[in-house]
Amino acid sequence: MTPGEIEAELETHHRAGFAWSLACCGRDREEAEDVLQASYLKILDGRAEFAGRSSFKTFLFGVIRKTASEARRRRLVREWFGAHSVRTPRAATENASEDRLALLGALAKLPRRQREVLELVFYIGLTVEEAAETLGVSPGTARIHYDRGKRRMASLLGISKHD
Amino acid sequence: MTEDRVERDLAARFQRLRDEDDSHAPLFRTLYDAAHRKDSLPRRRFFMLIAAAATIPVVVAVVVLRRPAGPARFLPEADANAIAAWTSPTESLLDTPGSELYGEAPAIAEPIPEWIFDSNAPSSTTPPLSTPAPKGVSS
Repeated sequence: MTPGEIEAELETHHRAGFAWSLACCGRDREEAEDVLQASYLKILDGRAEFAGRSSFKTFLFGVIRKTASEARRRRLVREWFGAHSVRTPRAATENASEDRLALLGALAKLPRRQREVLELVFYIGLTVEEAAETLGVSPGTARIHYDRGKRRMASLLGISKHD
Repeated sequence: MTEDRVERDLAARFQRLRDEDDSHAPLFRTLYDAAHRKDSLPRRRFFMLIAAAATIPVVVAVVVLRRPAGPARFLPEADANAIAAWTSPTESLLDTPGSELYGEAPAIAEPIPEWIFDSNAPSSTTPPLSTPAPKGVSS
């Protein structure tokens, strides 16, 4: 891919990328921006190279997920060594609607994989197969996480299966 | 289609969440340009680091090779000869009696007796070894 093509692809998926970055960073906007920028940087300088085995979208989301995970690990190490300048991540909960808080609260109770699959499918709008590609798991595994997560969310949010 | 109902409900909730979050999304150009600027910075730093690391051994080599020879590095010839001629005051102790035997090959007495070369000569012609009997032993 030429730098121009990469730039065009990044621009196309920018909003979804930011949304996924928010999801990976516990809805901390500042950290999500840093992670997204670091992901762009990785792609630009070739540390993350698109090999064409998947779609660019799932490749980008995979890079964002990995970068967020690295950022989280670095923050934990800094906290462990007692660095004073560590900024505690803040989820944007001020002025949040009850609906939003309930949804985020229920998501927080899910195991990580289930949460990731549900966010990729419902929040980002990927198919379960694309979510599997992003997470590096088989479609069958992603489908299991999707079904279990969906059932648990319905239970936590009090969504009735009957009209 | 009860599952569809759950999916529809969840999709609607997540969509509202997404709409709220999208309104705070940063501009693509802002993030992309900032990433572009950062892209060139570490590379420049990396090459500067490599250049600095490569310079150190070169500077050390130049300093060592071009160091001027000091006056103490080579001895004057007279001093060198004096040191070479020096002997220890206790060297005479190393001379042991008979030490000259180690410095020369033993000489064989002449003329050599004929019987030494005569292989047919009876063994009786060999002069007996005249070893004196130990004291107190009678033959």
